[in-house]
Amino acid sequence: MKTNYGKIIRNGILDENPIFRLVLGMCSTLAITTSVSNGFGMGMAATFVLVGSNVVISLLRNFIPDKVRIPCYIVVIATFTTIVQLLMEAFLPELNASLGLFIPLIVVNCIILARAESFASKNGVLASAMDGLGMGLGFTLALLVLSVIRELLGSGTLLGVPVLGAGYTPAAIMTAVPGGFLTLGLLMALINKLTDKDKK
Amino acid sequence: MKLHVSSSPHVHAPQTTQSIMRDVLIALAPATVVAIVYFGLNALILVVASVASAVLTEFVIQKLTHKKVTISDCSAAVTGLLLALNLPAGCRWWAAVLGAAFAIAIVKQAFGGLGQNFMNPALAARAVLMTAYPAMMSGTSYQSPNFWGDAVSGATPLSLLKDGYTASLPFNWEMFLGLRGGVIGEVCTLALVVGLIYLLIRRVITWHIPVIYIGLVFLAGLILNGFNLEIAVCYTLGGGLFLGAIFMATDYTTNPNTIRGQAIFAVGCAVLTVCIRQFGSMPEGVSYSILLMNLVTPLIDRFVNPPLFGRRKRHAA
Amino acid sequence: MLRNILNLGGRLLIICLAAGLALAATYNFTAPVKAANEEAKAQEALRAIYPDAQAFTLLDEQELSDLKESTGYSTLQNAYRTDDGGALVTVLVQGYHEMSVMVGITPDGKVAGYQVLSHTETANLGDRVTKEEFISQFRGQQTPVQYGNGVEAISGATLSSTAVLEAVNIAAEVTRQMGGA
Repeated sequence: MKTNYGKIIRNGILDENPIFRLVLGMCSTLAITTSVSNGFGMGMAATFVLVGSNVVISLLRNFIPDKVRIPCYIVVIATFTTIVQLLMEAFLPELNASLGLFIPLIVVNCIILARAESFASKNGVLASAMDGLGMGLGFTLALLVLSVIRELLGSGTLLGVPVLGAGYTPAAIMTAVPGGFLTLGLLMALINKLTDKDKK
Repeated sequence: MKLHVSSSPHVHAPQTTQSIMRDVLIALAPATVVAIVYFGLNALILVVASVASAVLTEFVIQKLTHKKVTISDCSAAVTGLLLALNLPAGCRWWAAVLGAAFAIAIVKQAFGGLGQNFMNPALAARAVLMTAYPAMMSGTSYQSPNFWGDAVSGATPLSLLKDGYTASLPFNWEMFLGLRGGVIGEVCTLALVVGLIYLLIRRVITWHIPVIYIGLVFLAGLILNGFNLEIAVCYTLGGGLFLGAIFMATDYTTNPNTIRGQAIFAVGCAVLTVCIRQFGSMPEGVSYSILLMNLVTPLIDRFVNPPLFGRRKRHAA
Repeated sequence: MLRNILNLGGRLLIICLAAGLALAATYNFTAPVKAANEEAKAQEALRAIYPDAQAFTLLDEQELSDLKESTGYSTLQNAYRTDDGGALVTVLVQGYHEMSVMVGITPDGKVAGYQVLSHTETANLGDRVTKEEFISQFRGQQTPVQYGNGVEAISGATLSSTAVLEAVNIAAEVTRQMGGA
């Protein structure tokens, strides 16, 4: 039974990585990954909401009637998102300020609703928690990869610390939207190429 | 007598990709020479860096993807040269290298190579460089030609026009010869026109796009400046209009197939250029208008192209 | 039919009630922490601009609107008197986009410093006016400040730079008015 849970977590990180494979949650991804601290903060916040909502929805899966399941899911997800937002406003105000609008937007992050609909409503509590954790970690990992590239090339810093030295002229496009699309597209192409090779 | 058996076509036109590209390079030669004479060593460095980077990138990518290496058709060199001519004299060499690599690797090869790009690679690279390094690509980077010593950096004629400083505009003959600020390839209109005549004689391009595009912008310049002929000429000579209309808007892949389509394309470019110059925050609008019209080209083709032989004409659904 | 609707609605209601309770609890838990944060941040922000003062007094509604009238600047947001006779003034100015700048002016009309409270300028270009490198040019300058003698606009970001210059000079005038009042 134990290996089952490990597989679920690994699924969220690798095979069904929400950003590189399922291509969900693009809006936040592209906007947030301009710096590593933002990417990590968003990943952690989304993971919290994901695990929380997966667990609650799984607990209530027999209580929630099928006809009104979407409103119920949204209420649960929105509650967790608001809790995260309140906690961040109180205890992590700078991160809250830089993530800004994108914290409340976690509610409509497709990843969470998709997992609620396709996994949590059909599986047990522990499995749903693991799925939330796996997806959340996969999301965070992808965000980290993107933010490292974009912050490094676009601002010459990592976590705000200048890394590439004064001689490097930052390419402002990397922290702007076009850079986000370019980086994401090239990364997805790379990942597809690498994983296709494995299959062959 | 040796009999040679082969399949059609049996009548060959003398033009190959290589010969066309060679003609474009020759047509660009006057502008390039002028650029180097006017702007000095850095201009030469930019041209060399850009062309080298473009050709090298194409070679590397074609090797990595196990495709036939086609650098001898000179299309990468043309892209590299066009990009270099679109850069301001103060641009650093490594930016030219990055831009050319982007143009070839992403805009051209990633979408299928020669003939498959959906927008002009040199202009797309210029747009990327402008977003990536705004300080280096604008403002003080625009220099006026330096024949004897220091380059004078300052506002371009179009930005002067936009802000209303008509008194400090260079004379029109000065603009025609290139004694003004701008990117290294656009300043000497004379050199560009020589190139245009060469291309027309060699039948590489048709007159429609350059003439319609430049003509309409001139007309708009007349109307918008109260029919002041001198200012209208300055408006037309200024910015990258000639460079864009002659060498970028006429790129085969990214404009419509039919003459009618090309006319529509040219009109669209002119309208967008004038709108950006007039209402946008930038003084120059040629690069972005051509890029936008590149994107619209498939749409133009869809409505203008004659139906394929044997198929019914498509009626508006 | 009705039973069905009541059933569905009822369940939804229960879930919403539970959600409401959870939210209320979290809110009550975090509210005092937030309030303390904001108070500290406000004080810290003021001292960052004007390190020499110990206490800051905010002008009330009436004083503020009188000040707006007497100086003619309707873009005044708020103002603090410092305990050493200077002032901190917040004005709205137009750079590339709108910016809110709080400027500290000493009693003898010199610039103590400033901070851009909010802006939407271009990253790595206009937003360099919020960085120490640009701010340090202004410290100690006698108002009204002009370009030259140590104050240079950021190349490629003239609009943003000039907006800050404007804000500083407006703040200086307002401070003079406050001193006189």
